[in-house]
Amino acid sequence: MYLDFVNLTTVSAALALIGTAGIIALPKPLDKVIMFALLQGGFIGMIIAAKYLDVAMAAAIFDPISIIILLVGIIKINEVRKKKEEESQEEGNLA
Amino acid sequence: MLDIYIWFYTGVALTILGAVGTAIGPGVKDPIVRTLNTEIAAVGVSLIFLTYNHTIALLTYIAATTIITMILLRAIVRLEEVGAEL
Repeated sequence: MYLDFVNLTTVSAALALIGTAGIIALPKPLDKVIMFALLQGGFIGMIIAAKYLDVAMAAAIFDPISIIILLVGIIKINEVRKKKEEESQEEGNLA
Repeated sequence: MLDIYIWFYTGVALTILGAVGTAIGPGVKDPIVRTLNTEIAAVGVSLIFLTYNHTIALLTYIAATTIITMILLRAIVRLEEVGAEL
């Protein structure tokens, strides 16, 4: 039966592959971070299917930290770029 | 038995896709996009560790990936502030 293929491993693998396609294809960094959360969800699902619950716990702690770091970095680099753009515009006005 | 093959082949697919996406993916002129694409390859390598039951390697690699991301993003933001031509 095809229903044999519906278990934690296959569903998690599909989730991880969808996350991969999203990270590569979507252009904006914020969309990429959201698809990265999907990829990590699939990864944790596959660790749990392997019954390594201690590793799954560590991964579940580290993944949100990674996502928060990425978000802070994206916001900061956006601010820096915006400030640079304003500065270059002011220089143009002065000239 | 089927599970092990699914982990392994998903890991290989993620590693190759992540590597190709990091090298020639869309929009990789932006360093942030490139850093995000390397995360795919990191998850793929972790899945290959999972196939061979290397638990401690998997644990360490997950932690190291987070720290590497932190350092890389800090360096990228700092270089952008300074205005270095990357």
